[in-house]
Amino acid sequence: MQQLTSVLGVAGIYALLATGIVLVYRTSRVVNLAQGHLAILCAFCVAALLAAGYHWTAALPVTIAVGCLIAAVIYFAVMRRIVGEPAFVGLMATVGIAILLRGVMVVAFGGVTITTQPLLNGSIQLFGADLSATQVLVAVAAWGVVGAIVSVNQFTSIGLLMRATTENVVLAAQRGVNIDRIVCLAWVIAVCAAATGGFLHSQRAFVSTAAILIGVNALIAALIGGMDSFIGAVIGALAVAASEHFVLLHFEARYADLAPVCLMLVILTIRPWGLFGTQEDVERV
Amino acid sequence: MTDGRARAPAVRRPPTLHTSYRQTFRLWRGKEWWCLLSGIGVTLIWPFLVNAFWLHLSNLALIAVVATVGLNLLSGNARLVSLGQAALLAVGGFTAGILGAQYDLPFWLCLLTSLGTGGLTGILVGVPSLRLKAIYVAITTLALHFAVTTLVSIYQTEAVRAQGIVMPIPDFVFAKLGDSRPWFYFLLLVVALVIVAALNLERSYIGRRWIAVADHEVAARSAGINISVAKLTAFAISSAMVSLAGALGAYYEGVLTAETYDIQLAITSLAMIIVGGVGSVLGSVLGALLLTFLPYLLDAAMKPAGIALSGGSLNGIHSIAYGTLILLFLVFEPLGLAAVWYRIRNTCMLWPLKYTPLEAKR
Amino acid sequence: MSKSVLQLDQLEVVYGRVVRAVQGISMCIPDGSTVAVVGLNGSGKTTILRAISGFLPSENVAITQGTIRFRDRDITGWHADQTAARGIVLVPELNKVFGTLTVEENLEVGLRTQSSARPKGAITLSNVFDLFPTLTPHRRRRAIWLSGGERQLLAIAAALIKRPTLLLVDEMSLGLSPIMQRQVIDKLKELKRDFGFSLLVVDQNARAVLEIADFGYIMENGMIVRDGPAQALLANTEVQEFYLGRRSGEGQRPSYRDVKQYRRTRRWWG
Repeated sequence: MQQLTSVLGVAGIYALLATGIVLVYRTSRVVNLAQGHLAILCAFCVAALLAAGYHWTAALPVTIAVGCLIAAVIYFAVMRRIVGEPAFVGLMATVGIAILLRGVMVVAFGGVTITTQPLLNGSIQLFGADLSATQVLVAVAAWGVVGAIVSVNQFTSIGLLMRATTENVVLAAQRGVNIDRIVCLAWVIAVCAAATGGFLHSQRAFVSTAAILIGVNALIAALIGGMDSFIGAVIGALAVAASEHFVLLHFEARYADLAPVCLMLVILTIRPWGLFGTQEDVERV
Repeated sequence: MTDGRARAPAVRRPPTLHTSYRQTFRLWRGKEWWCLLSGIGVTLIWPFLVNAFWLHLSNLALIAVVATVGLNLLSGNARLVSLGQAALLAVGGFTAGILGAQYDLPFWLCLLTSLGTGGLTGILVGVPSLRLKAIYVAITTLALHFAVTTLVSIYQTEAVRAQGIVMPIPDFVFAKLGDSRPWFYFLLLVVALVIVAALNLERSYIGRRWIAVADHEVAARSAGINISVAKLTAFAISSAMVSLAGALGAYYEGVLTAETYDIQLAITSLAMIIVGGVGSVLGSVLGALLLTFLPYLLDAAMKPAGIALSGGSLNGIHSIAYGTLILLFLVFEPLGLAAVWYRIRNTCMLWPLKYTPLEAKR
Repeated sequence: MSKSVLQLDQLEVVYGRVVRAVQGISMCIPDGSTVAVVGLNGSGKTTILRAISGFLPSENVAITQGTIRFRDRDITGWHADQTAARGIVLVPELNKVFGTLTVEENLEVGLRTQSSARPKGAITLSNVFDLFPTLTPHRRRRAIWLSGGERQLLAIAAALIKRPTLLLVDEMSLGLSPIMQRQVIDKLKELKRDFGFSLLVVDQNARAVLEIADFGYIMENGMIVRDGPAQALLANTEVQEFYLGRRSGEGQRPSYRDVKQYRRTRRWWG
C-alpha cells in the first residue's frame, strides 16, 4: 500500500507535467521540451522563499504568479514570433528556453541540492495501512490539479474555445476566437501545472538540476499516451511511474532511466501515434 | 567597319544569378577566388597567430565542426532531428579507445573502424525510426543516447576498472601528433575532406533525395525514391561522420572518460546547427566555431569588467548565453549565421546597388 | 443608388512573389445585394474571398496593389479577427466545421466570442434550430457524423451566429448532390431575405448561384472577363456556352469550325 501511494504520487507529478505538455501541443503544435526545467525552476523558487522564512501559503502563490509571468514572456517574446515556421523551429525554441532556464537556475540558486521541509509530517491511517502524509498529499494534490485542468478543458466555455483551436486554428480564428489569448492561456496553465509539479516534487525528493529528468519522463508519458490526448497523458504517466518503480525494485537504479524509454519504444513501434493519439499524416515535430 | 551602336556598359551580375544548370551544382559557386584563397591562407598560418590556449580551442572547434557537419546532414538536410549526438561521439571514442589503447591498432585503422561502427549504430537507430514521425525520431535517438551512455559507463567501471582509458599518441604518416600544432594541421586536413564530402553529398542525388524525403514524403515516394533507403543512408553517413569526430576527440584529449558524453553535448550540437543555419555546410562550420569559442569569448569579455565568478555560476552564464543566442537566432534569423554571411556578402558584392534575391539561401 | 458595402479597387494578390493570383480586380457589392463570382479552378475566386476576410497566409502572399473598402473604411491587409469583428464572416471551402465538437458546441464557439462592438442580434442557440430544422435531431452529435449537406448548413448557421454584415460563402456546392445543392442555396436565399446581410457567393455551379444573385462577375486567370446583372449573364450565349454548359445548336455534333471558334473565343477570354 505504501508503495502504491508512492507510485501514485510520482505518477501524479508526471501526469501534471505531461498534461501541460499535451495542452501546449494541442493548441499550438509545439512540443515543449522545457517543461521539466520550468518545474524545477519553480521548485527552486518555492524552496528559496520557504528558506527565507515565508509561509508556504505565501510562497506557493508567489511562485505560481512568477510562473504565469514566465509563460506570458515565453509566449509573447518567442512562441508568437515563430508562428508559421517549419515545425521543428518550435521544438528548438523550447530547447533554447530549456538551456536558458538551466543557466538561470545555476546562476540564481547555485548548483546545489536543496531539501525542503515537507508540509505535513507523520502518517495517516488509510485502508488499513500506515501511509506517509506527504505521499498522500502529493498524490491527492497532483491528481486533483490534473483533474481540474481536464475539467476546465472539457466543461467550461474557455475550454470549448481551446478545443476548437486544437481542432482547426484557422477556422477558430474565423469564428472569432482570439488565438493569442487562447494559446497564451494554454502556456500559462502548462507552466502553473509545472510549478505545482515542481513544488510537489520538492515535497518528496531533492531539488537539484538533476531533477530536470522528471521533464523527460513526463515527455515520454505524453508520447506514450499520444501527444494530443489528456487521457493518454494520464495513462502514460501511470505506465512510466510503474515501469520505473518496477525496475528500481528488481534491478539496479542505473537502469531506472532506461525503463520508460524502452517501454515507449515498444509502444511506439506498435502504435506510432501513441495509445490515444489521433493518427495524422501531417508532418509535425 | 565601325559599329554604330555604343557598347552597353558591363552589368554587374548578382551573385545568385545562375545562367546554366551546371552552375547550380558546382562545388564552388562563387566567383571571388581571392576571397577563398585569402581565407585558406589565414587558416594555414593560424597556429602562428594565436597562443597555445586558443590553438587548443581551435582544435576542439575543428573536431566540433566535423561532428556538426555530420549532424547537419541528418538533421538539416534530411530533417530527422537527432538527440543521439553524444551517443555517437561515445561510440566513436570508445571504438578508438578499445582498439587503439587496448589492442594497439594503428591510428588510421582506428579512425576507419570508428567510421564503420558509427555507421552501423546509425542504421541500428534508423531502423525503428522509419515508421515514426519527427518528434518520435528524436525520442528514439534519445533512447539511443541512454542506451549507449549506460553501456559505456558499465564498460568503464567493469572492464577498465579505472577512471578512464588513456589513449596513445597517434602516429600519422610523417609526424607524431603530440602537440597542438601538428594536430591543427591534421584536423584541418580532416575537416577539409569532411566539408568536401558533405558538399558533394548535398549536391548529389543522395543529398537531393534526403531533401525530397524531408520536404514531402508522399511526393518523394511517388517520384520513385525509396524512403527507407534514403533515411537509412542519412543515418548511416551522418553517424559515421559524428563517430569519426568522437574518435578524433578521444585521441586529442588523450584520456577517454564516459562522463564526458552527457545529454548537454547533444543539445549543444543541435544549438550549433540552429545558430549556424540548418541545412547548410557553411552554417554548421560557422555554428560549431561560434559555439565552441563562445564560452571563452564571454570569459575574456567579462574579465576586464572585473566579474569573477565561481566555476558553477560560470557554467550557468554560459548556458544563459547559449539559450539566448538560440532564441535570438530562431526569432530574428531562422536561417542562421549562414544567411547573415550571404547577406553581408551580397551587399558587399553589389554595393551600391540593391538586389533582393528570390531565395536568401545562396 | 444604395451604398456599396464592399468595394475592391484594382486589387492584386501575389503568391510567393511569382504567381499573380488576382490581377487588377475591381468589384462593387451594393448594400443588401447578392453577388455571385463564378469561374474555373485557379481563376482566383477563393483568393479574393481570403483577401477580403483576412485569411491570406502571411509568409509568402502579399496584396501588392489596390484597396479593399468595407463601408468606406479601408480594410486592405486586415487580419481575420479584425474583419470578423467588423461583421465580415467567411464560410470556407474546406474544413468548415469542428469535427470533434458537437453541433451545439460548434454554434457555441461563435456565441462565446461575440465582440461587444457589434450590435446585439436576434440569433441565439434556441432559435438557430428553428431556422435550421434539419439540424435539430443532431444537436448533440459530433459534427463529423453529419452528412455533407448538413455540415454545410451547420457551417452557414455558425457563420450566421456571428451576425454578419457581409457573408462570404466559398464553394458551397462542393461534394453535394444536386438536390442538396438546391436545398442549401434556397436556404441561403431565405436567410438573406430574413436577416438582410449582403452576400458574396463564389461557386463553380454557375447556374445555381447566378439564379439567386443580383449581380455576377465571371473570372478567368485572375481577371474579371464579364460582369453585369445576373439575369443578363444568364442570357448571354457565350456565358452559356462556357460556364453553363449549353451549346448553341444543341443536339448536333459540333462541327470542326464550331470547335475552333470555341477554342479561339476561350483563349481570348483568358
